[in-house]
This record gives sequence, C-alpha cells and structure tokens, in this order.
Amino acid sequence: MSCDPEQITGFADAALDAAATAAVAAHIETCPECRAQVEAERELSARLRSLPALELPAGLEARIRHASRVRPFPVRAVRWALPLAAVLVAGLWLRGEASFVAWDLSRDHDKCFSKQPLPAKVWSGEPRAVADWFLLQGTHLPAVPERVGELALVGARYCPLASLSFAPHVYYRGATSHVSLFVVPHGVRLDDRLASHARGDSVRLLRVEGEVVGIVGEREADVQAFESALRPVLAAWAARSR
Amino acid sequence: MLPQMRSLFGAAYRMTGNAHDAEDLVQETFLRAYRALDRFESGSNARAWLHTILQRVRTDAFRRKQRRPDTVELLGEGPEVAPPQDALASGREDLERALAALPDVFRTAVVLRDVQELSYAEIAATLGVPVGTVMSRIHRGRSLLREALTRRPS
Repeated sequence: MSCDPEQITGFADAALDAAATAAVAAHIETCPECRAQVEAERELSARLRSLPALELPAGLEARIRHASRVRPFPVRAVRWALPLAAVLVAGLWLRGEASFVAWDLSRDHDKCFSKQPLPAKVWSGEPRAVADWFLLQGTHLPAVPERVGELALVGARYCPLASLSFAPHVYYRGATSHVSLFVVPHGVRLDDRLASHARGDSVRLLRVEGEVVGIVGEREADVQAFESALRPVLAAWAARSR
Repeated sequence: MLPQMRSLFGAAYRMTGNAHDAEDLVQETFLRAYRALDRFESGSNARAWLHTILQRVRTDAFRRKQRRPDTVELLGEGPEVAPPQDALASGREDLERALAALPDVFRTAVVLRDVQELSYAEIAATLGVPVGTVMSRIHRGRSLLREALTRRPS
C-alpha cells in the first residue's frame, strides 16, 4: 500500500479490521514516515489521556439529584395508563355480566369435551374423592351428585376462563351427551337464577349464598334434571356455609 | 453515578471550553438519562450512552441558539476561556489551549477518543456518522494539535 495517513491513525488506535491492520503493519516496516506517525499518534493520545480529571463544580451533583426527583409530568405513562385502565374496568364489568359468564362456561364446556382424552386432573366417579381433591387444592365444593339419569361423574379439574380466572369444573358423561358443573370464581351480577342458551348449549347459573354455580349441557333436558338434582344439595351447602 | 458525572463534565468542559456551558450540558444530559433509563441496555457502555445524549443536548441547544441568537454560545470555534486552574498548575496549558482552539468537529472527535476513551464504533454511534468519518476527524484533529504544539513548544 502507499502512505495513507488516516489509515495510520486508525492503526495507531487499533481500530482497523484484520486485513487493513496487516496491510498497515507490512507498510510501516518499509516506511519510516508512517512509522513515525504511528509513534506521534500514540504519544499525543497518551498525553491527552493523562490530562487531569476536572473537579465537578460545587453543587452540580446535588442540583442534578434534586432536579431528577422533581420530574415533569410523565406524559408517556399517562397516555398508556388511561386506555389500559378503561380496558381493565370494561373487562371487570363484562366478566360480572351473567350472559358473558354463560357464554364463557359454555365455551369451556365445549372445549373440554372436544378433547380426547378429557383433560381431567382427578379421575373418579366417586363424589367424595372429587370433593377431597378440590379440598386439597383449597376449594370447598358442594357434594356433587354421583349420577343424574344416564350421566355419570367422571372427573374434574380447574379450567382457565376467558375472564382470566380458574373455575372448578366437574365432568359428567353419558352415551351421547355431557354436562359440566362449574363454580364461578368471581362475582356475577345475578339475583337468583339464570336459564339461558349460549353457543348452542343450555346453561343455568344458580346463586348459592355468595357463590354462583353453573350447569352447562348440550341438551336442555339434562340441564333441567341437573338443576333439580342439585337444588337440595345447594340448599344444604348454603345452610352450612351460613 | 458520580465518576460518570465527573468524566462527562471533563469532556463537556473540553468540548465547550466553558465551565458554565459544560455544567448546563451535564445537568441536562443526566436529567434526560434518568428519564430514559429504561431504554439503556445493560451491558453496553454507559459512558458512550451518556455521550450520545450529550450530543443530542448540544444539537438541541445549537438549534435553539440559531433561533434566538442572543443566547449563550454552546458550539463554537475556539472558545476564549482560560483552561482550568489545575491544568495550568500541572504544566499542560499548551495542550489544553491547543485542544480548545481546534474546530468543533475535530475537537469533539478527539475528546471522545482520547479523553473519554470511546472506541471508533462508539464514537460513530454517538455522533451518528460513519466510522470512516470518525477516523478522518480524529486524524485531522490530532494533526492540527501536533501543528499547534510544534509552533508553541512547551
């Protein structure tokens, strides 16, 4: 290479890539001027580096610390906080809406029973065993029926709902249909009872003291039978929790 | 933070040649840095990051000054303020004076490289220019410094 003073500066600062470094290293072997420039660059750089550090002006640090505490209004945070709060409030309001809960439970009922195998965490046809399993997880459940008509208890688990909560979900299976029992894990605006249809399923929401129990099935007759079977159980449950 | 503040003040002083402007620069830089702390990538060079902010503060101040010409000079050619007392005492006044007399772009590049010890890549990112430009500015700045120093040997 021919003399390139800028490259020599980069070389002196070890800032060139491997190929350029090798080229300059070879060049300075034969070029005393460029070798001298490398020396001069490094010497000046060392002199600049050894310039004394300056003292901070009195009070500057304290002024910065003080000013950084008195921050201007955080506009950026507010811009996000308001819509976020609105979404949260709307979400909380919506999840207390009985028709939304009916839709949410029906969605979960269909999801669980469309899976092979059923995603139960406790497998038992024994109401006692299912209640004990829930008790171990910290949920007190009413004594659920062992069978209603041809529908038999098969198991249970906690299911994630669209309302961002986990609901105890008990599974019943018959030859051609299924029924789910839920305990809704959050507040619902419901006086006593809601009978409705959601997504092609029949749904009941029943208020028992502070809790709301949900029944979901594909056939209205199954759900009706379950409601009748559950009435005495729920009454006893309510009396006990009182 | 105190060592960073001292180091940044030293650089700001040598870039502006004026303690008052340097103080304003450092204060504004740190306030912006505190506000943008969530955008600092841990593991990267805090000094380079602070210098990036400092350059932005200088640019903003320069634009303000252009709109209102009566405000204090932040970017200038050779500042005429005397170098700091301790530098005089330690006999480095020639170097300080020659540095202060450099045109702004070269002085900034040399200060970032030789006083602040940033890499070429960090300086390029800080100033928003290609690495080749950084090399050329450092080269030019050091050449001018050497010329000034040989004219007035210490």
